[in-house]
Amino acid sequence: MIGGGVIRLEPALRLQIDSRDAFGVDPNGLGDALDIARKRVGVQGRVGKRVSFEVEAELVGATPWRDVYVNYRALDSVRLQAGQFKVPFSLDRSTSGAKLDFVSRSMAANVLAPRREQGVMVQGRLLGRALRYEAGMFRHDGEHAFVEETDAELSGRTTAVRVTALPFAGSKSVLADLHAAVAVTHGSVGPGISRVRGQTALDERFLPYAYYWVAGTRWRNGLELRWRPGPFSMAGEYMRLTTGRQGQALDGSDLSPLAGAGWYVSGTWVVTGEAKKKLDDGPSAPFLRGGIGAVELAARVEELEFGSRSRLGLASSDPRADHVAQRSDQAVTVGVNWLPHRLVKVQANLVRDAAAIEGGLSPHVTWGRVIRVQFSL
Amino acid sequence: MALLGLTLLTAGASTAHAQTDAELFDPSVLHDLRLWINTRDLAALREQAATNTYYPADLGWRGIRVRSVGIRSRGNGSRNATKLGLRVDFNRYVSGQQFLGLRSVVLDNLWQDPSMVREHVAMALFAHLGQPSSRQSFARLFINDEYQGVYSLVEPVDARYLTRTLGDQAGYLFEYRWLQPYYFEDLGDDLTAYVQLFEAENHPNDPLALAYGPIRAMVRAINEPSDTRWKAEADRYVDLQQFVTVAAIEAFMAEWDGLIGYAGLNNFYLYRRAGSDRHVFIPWDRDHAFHDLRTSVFERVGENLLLRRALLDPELRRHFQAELERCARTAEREGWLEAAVQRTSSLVRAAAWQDPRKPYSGADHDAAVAALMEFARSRPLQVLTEVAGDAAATRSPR
Repeated sequence: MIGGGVIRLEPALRLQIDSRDAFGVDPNGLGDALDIARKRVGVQGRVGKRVSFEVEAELVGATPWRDVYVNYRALDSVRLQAGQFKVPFSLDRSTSGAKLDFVSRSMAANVLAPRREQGVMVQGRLLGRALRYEAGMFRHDGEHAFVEETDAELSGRTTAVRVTALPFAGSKSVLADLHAAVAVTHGSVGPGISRVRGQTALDERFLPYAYYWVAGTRWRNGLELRWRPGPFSMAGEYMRLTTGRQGQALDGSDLSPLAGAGWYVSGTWVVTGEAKKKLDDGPSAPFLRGGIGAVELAARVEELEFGSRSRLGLASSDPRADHVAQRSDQAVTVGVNWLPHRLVKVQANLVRDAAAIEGGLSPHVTWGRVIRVQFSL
Repeated sequence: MALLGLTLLTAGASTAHAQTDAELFDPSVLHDLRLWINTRDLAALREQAATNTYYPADLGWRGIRVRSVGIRSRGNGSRNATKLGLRVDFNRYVSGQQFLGLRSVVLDNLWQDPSMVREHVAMALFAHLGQPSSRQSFARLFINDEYQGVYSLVEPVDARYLTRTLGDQAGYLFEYRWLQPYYFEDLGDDLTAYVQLFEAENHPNDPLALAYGPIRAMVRAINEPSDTRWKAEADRYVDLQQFVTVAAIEAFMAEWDGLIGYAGLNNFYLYRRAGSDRHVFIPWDRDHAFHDLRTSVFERVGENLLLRRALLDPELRRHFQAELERCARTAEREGWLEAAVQRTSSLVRAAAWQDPRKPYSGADHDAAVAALMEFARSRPLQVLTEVAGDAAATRSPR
């Protein structure tokens, strides 16, 4: 605290170390690996009662700045935020990497949802706590990893709106935590190779050589649902993304938009009995302090599809095909989370991934296991 | 959805089956072949002509439009951005797609041959003499409806080719990659030295030892120091009769860039039948054939270690002489070679003159054809004379 409590600062530190092993993957792909997934430092703070801010930097990788923003609370119903932060879309994408139920986000959130972007946003609560909204305008479409090409698309200004309903918030009902939301983003994309790429649950690329040229409008639509009664939680999302391909046919005419869609359903159970929504506060009986910490079981089923809106004519992986051969990936993840202490989390996931292409042979099945040790302050 | 895709693919294929690959490679026809490609991709293809990057296109022939084919630049000395040498892969983007039963086809830009017919005539002679050779025909190529010039439509050396010419496709096929002058010197124990020279065209997942071990053994056998053991050793790994036959045909044709090329080995495939260690030689890219009428049939035969050792063996030397004589007799019989040059050059002459991207003039084309005609007329007698002299010399007591 500085200035007699007018300024409050809270340092943040996160270190994640992953051990991965996969079977049946492309020999040039994942394989065995031990790496530092995240090494982040940051600070959150507050100036007076109305201004809050966050600065966070990644010490691993080429793009260091993560969340860098200022938030001004005019009213409970109107808060203004400016800087770089996550585009309001997808529950899974919005959740901090330190608080995920699984080592990796769902494929849909990973691939289809936008990431951080520079912009401004207005947000607030309405009808008590029953309704929450976020509406923002962003410089581009959100950073995307996996893109090295010089011909990559140039995304234009993107608008995003997300409305979340918590119809039983504040009640004593078992449904008090029920959260349902809809979200949409809209933006323009200049001619270039799509930055949105299919990626399996084991981080393998969907498309080995075909890159799709896009130009026009990009839309995302998302639905999300979450409920955390007692030691249990259930969550699910569906999202869809389309990107125009104006003037991208062989003869310069328009092609059917690229379309990607994905969903997941997940569930968790805190075996040691802590309430799920308070698990971030730490286990009720920490390890070496008379307990074993908190132990949680988790499972997720998910699917991701990529193709074109048109399904007429020859299905092809040709980057300028009107009917892009549909590629799909289905994954099942089971995991155990152990929180020996409030600051430490150990996650072990077993993943079965089955990728298939329209008109192709039987799905390509791979198995992988990931163990993550996380320290966060 | 998979069923729908397969159904549509089958429907497309059934249209294509109204024609046959024999018609596509009919050498008596000048075909019109069309490619449609996005203008941005075409610009990138020309800009990146030195790379093997694929671009999507549609291919049209006789009213058939094959969609979503992959095309890329190809060639070594002939590779350029002006008149693109192209490889067309029908199954690059559509799994299992074929055109007239073909998975790919080569569009040779005839960049280095002002006559434009050397390769056709050379391959026709190989076929006429019973050796494996690619079927070829001529085509006027249009890209986005713009005439690009005369091309040779070449059957690729692949599984279908092997079945057609050798009756077997289960073995190992390698394309020789010219890196520097090489004459079959022993490259040592390290198989990767051979991997660089002989690019595997099939069995990509087989262990190196399985694919390349017999090639290393072949080269060692070629370098066997004992003259008494050499033939038996080499014959285990090389079909010596077939090799000498191919070498003789090339010598007759004064081939400048083949097995006995000016810079070592070049322009051939190597095939090893399944369950065998013996290799056969498949000629490829003969646009330097009929190079110079004055070339002796024994020119450079001492450079290639395999041919040099083979010709020291009396039986193989007689075979070489006999095959040269067979070439000459075949070529002169009823003017076969001259007629072949006449027939093919007449077919392409008008299109060749109109070819807007060729690096030589129409007059150069006519002059090259005239030189080829002279070669066809004079070469048989010249070779027969030289062979007779060599036969007499090798029969003479030393």
